[in-house]
Amino acid sequence: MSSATQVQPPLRDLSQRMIKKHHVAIILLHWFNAITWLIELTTGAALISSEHFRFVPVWFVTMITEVSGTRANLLRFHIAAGLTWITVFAVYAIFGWQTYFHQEVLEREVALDKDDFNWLRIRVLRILGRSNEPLPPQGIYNAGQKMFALMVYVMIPVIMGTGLVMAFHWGPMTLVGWAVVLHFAAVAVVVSGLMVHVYMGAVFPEEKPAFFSMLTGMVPEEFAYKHHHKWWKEVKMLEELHAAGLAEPRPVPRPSRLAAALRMKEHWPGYWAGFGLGLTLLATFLIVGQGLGASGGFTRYLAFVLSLVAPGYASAHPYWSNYVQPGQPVLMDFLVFELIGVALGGVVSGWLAGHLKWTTDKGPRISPRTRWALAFLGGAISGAGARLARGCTSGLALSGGSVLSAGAFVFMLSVFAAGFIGAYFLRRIWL
Amino acid sequence: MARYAMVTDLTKCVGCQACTAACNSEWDVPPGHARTHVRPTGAVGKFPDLRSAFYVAQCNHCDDPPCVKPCPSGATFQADNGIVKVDRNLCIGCGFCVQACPYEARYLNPATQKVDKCDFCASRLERGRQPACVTTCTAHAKYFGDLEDSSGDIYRMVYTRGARRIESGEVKVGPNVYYLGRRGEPQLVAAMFPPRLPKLPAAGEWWSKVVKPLALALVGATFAGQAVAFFTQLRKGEGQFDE
Amino acid sequence: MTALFPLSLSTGAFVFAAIALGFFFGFFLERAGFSSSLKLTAQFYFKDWGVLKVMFSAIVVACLGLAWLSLAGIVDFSQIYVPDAYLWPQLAGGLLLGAGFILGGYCPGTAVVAGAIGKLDALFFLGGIFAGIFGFGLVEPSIHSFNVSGALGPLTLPQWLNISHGVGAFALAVIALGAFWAAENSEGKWQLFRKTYGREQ
Repeated sequence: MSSATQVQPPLRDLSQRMIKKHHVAIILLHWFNAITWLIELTTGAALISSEHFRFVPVWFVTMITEVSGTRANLLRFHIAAGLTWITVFAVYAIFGWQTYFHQEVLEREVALDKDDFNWLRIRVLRILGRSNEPLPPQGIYNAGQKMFALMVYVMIPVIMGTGLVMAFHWGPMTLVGWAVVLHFAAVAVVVSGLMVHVYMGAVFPEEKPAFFSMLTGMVPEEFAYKHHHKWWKEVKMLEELHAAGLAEPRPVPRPSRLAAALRMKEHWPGYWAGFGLGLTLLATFLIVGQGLGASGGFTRYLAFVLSLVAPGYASAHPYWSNYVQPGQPVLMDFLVFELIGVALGGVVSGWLAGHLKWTTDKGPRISPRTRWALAFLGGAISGAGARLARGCTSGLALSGGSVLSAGAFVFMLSVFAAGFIGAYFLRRIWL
Repeated sequence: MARYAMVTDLTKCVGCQACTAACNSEWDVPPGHARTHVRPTGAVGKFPDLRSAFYVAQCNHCDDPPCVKPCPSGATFQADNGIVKVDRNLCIGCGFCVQACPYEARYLNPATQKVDKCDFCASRLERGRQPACVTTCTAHAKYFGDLEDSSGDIYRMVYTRGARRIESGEVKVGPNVYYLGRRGEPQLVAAMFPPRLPKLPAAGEWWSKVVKPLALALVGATFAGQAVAFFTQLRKGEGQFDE
Repeated sequence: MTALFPLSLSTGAFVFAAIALGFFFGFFLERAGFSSSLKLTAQFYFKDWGVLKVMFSAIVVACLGLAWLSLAGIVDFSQIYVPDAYLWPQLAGGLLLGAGFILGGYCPGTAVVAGAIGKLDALFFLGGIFAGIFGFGLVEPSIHSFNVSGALGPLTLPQWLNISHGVGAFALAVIALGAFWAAENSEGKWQLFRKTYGREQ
């Protein structure tokens, strides 16, 4: 049963295989946490403006305050982000309670054993160049990671609790006063740990696979063998048990769809792409006050060409004069520049996936020439339809739908209606 | 920019509490708290040389307000016209400012759990009206105006009639509420109700004197350790870690 | 109280923001696979529910985000552009765009992305769009009265139904979740494609 632990497998074999280390849910939580911490640290540091307690330069406080508009806005934003953070953690706690909160897992991920204490000592001495002792074998998390986890596990409830006390003024003044101090102290403890964590993940060369495992969920077996030997043995033992039929056969861990998608070779699952698109759309509303679009930009481009080719015609025409007016730059429009970005974003995504190639998408029963002609015809009908509706699927359905515009939903319904009915009659084109 | 100040003529004050009542109703002050209060000194001295006065107290909108510095979030601030205000949207109710005030002018409003105090009726001033306590005073003992307006009543009372502030040898923060009195009432009040020394509550003291230095030391030490590790790594080169 | 958003940008920042936001728009469209007319039209044959999933998850995220941020006072919703509703032209325009979609395989935004990665049919579609818009400009004066019919101004569904915006956003999210559930079931159990077209995919 323990034969795998005695046979030393050649390292080059180990470097070929990947072992699953992190669940997608944990990866997402990790990066959500990272973003929230960045926001909360920035706003929190700027919120402490008192001469007695301030620890960042005045210009930083002034800058962040000015970006927020007023200090009351800054506080409101800090609280809103904090509440979001607490909500997400609460959801994770509810659904992950049984998976993560029992003794076995906590011992494995947080509790330090004798090997761990030795590891810490030797690790520090080695960094200082005072020792060449080999590092004791480690479990799925090394002693440093465990210490950081312990710190975070203790401090996060403190930060959340004191944050709630301050945000909702729970309790008498004395309690709120101490909550401020505890909030600050707990954050300081986590930040000192966070510095090591970020340094190890982003700079320290040995831990690079650990960083990438937070993107893909997988580590090379070689890395597990060298750096998390006890865990590697566990994994191997389980595999042997499975091979011998002594335990439930477990499927060979494969990277999740998200992990595969993050490596850009295949398309993203619809919900993920939609989530990213939604955040982009939200950012657009926040930054420029309008949504994303496409056909409006085309109209501007066409109006620009008309204003060059036939300026008199364009500025006198009842429709084109909406766009071409003397003294007003035709192209000074959000969608005009946005479309340049759309093309760039498409190229970058296609390039990452290795999809940049001149091809024609078509059904099996038609020739490329027919497809091109139909595409042109379809484009023309779409273009006219988009102008009639004052927007296309992006500008009206997507952006208008997000502000719950009544016209957007009328438009959406008729697009889908025409699409589904048309699909039946035009099935020769596509099937 | 104006520099607002208030003068109370203690010789005229009869201690009727009309100012307190007007203030309470103007600002919905919860029972048990007050933005302005009238305290009698009682009879002081030996018969027949007895004296007494009423201390009409409120926020003094000091030139150097000791309540501004301890406020962690900057909710308490001094406006350009000298009025010390509390931004309710920014106050978290920690109470650091309450003990800092030498004149006990601040209280935690139990309804909102935020700090309240007199703001010279700033919203009435914006509408061009006088503070509620001034318009109500039955004895016409209260005056309010711009200290920089050399033709105004306030200027005259402060600079020529010798209205005085309630200060002590230890606490001199430049209060802007002045007191007049022909029979030494202001001196009596200052002796009976001396301003207390501004102080931070224990949480604030610990924060500024212990927690903040420790936190900076902890983060600094981690940073230094990190720097040592980084330069050791640079010196050895990356190859050594590839094993 | 002044809300944080929307920002008022200088010209340079505006152009930069437009290109950057467009970049992410294009990136996510391509990531979703919307650079392929086969993937896009598969929606209309009940073979792939990507269009519905991507579009509605994006709408729900942006809609809930806007509603939530405006409740928190961070964004001033009255400063956000809401398209004017023109009932009849938008109904007709939607029918035209839907027909053009199933005939040409793209919609204007996705055609840009597809053209950018080298889809020739998308380039023809883009050419068609310009022709269509030009043609619309030619005939617009003669159909002008129809083009402005059913004008309701910047009306939103919650205003029309006389409910609060937050409730409307929440209801939309619930409806979208229902649609996602239906889509997942359709791919697995219901086999709408076979039922509609009478054969296996």
